[in-house]
Amino acid sequence: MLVDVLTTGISIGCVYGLVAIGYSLIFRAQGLINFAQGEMLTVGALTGYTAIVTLHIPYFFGVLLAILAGGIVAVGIETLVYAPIRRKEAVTSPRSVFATIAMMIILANGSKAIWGSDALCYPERGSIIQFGDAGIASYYFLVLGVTAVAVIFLMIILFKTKMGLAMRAFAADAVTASLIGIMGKLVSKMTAFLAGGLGAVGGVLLAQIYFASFELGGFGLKAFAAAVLGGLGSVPGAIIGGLILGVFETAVSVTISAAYKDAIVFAMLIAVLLFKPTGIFKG
Amino acid sequence: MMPRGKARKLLEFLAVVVIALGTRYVITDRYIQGIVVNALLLSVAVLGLQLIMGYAGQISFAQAGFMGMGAYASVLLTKSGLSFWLALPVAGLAAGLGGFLMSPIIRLKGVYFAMASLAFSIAIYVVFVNWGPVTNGTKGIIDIPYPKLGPVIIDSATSFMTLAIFTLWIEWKCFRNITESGFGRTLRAVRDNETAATAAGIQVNAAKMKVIFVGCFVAGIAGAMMGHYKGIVSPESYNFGESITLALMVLVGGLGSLRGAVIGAFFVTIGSEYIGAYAAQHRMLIYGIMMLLFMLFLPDGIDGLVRMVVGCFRRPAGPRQVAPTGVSR
Repeated sequence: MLVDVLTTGISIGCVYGLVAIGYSLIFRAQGLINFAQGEMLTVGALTGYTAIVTLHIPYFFGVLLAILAGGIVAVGIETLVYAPIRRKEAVTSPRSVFATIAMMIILANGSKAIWGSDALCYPERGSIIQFGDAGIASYYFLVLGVTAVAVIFLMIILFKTKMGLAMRAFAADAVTASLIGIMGKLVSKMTAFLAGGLGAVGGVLLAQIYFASFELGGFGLKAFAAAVLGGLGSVPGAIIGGLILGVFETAVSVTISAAYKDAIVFAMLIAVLLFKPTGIFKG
Repeated sequence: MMPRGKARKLLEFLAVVVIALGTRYVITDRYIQGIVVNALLLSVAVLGLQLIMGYAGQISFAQAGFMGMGAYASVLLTKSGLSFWLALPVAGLAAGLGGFLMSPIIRLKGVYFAMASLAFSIAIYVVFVNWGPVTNGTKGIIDIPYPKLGPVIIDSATSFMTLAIFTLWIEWKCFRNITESGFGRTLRAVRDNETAATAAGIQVNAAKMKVIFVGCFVAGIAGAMMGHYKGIVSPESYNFGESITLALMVLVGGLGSLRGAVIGAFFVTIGSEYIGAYAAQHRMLIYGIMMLLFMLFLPDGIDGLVRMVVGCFRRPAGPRQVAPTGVSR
């Protein structure tokens, strides 16, 4: 029982963590809370489905395609919607907030229009690995592994490349960064691409555990709770927040009530916002 | 010359009476009457939301939930025999007090308040669905008694149209009063810069709570009237999607403008009919696209557009005759 809670909890926590990193990256760079980030799960899961199941593309390349799709959609939204509005208004204005909400609605319902309302399943992968008494499905390890790879990849980009350095400089002080020649527009697009790509990875993993559908955005909103829990703007905070949320939510679902688990998660989010809004790690 | 003072008020009242009773002769088509009633009743709730979002600057996704509170309250009270006219204010109060439940979260800013209101609206919906003995769950409540005014039974689109016009007018006058008073300035100060407002001595949280109470109160009234008009009250009409639609109406009409609330309500209601005819399953998608287009190109809504166009026709100020400033002796 405990093993089940841990495996499910940590896997879903990895998914939350990936999406939460996206929220934190964008928040740190622009101060914007991008509600469409949660929908990257949907985009990734469904594009992955089309690639892997419909087009029979090998798994690995299907995942890459999903990441690309998520990244491109995110960059598109940043270029066509967020950047123009940012030029005119503060990122916390109702106009900006509703623009992100509108994108969330469009992505979710657009996915429904394209892929329909059915839950689409990925093919079964791997087998059950025995650990003494307990059997753990091997794809939980796949989730853990892919998440680790994605995070390491992100860290390499952020700390070992010039673009990463530019992104960190821009996040620390946008004005000074542009004064020394860092192109804000390019950095914003890159940040968007990373956030979208990470979310898409999460989507593929989530679809592997459960299924792909236009409703996955709900998980994305909970991932926002994870990002806040870990400290909005902090990448390690996002991962840890995601893991904590995943395990907490699974534990609640198993012990208290599966139907009200979402309500409890939201209650927790409100509690965090009221009592420790900076989260565990300062953003 | 425009009549002044009392004469003016009397004239205005008579005009409203004429409009309220006469619209049924201008709009004779049953179907259109139904749309108009819908739009009018929604305007009542949207005006409340405009006060909360456009004047106090709190983004709320819970307005439909408060409509539901008013609806259930009124319907249950009238079914147990209370007169509609007594049940109505109680329904409004119920919703308004429900608004007080949001008091712990008014400290939250912008986006966080929006998220919390979203959580709130989901919570309200879950209660509506699961509190079977009171709300009858997803089956909803039917056999709702019609309001009676003496010998007159308000049971048709035309009579509800009259009722709605009167209600909207009363609400409009009250809100005009609020927004043009000192309290209105307080609200705008809170909306534009909370920190500065606090520094100026304004009790920000108290102001927000008052506004939320009023906004929820009228949502309850609107919900109650809609419940009696439609003849059925069920949780589906008061979920998160409906709240988004109400927010869309505020945005389309123009955030921060009372006129805009009514314009937005009519625009979206009429648009919704077209959507229902051609692409019903894509309703939310179309709403999302509408929201996006307005945020990108018409952030001040239709009211903003109208004001801009009207502004083009204003005569620009001519050259002023400035007396030469000499040194005064």
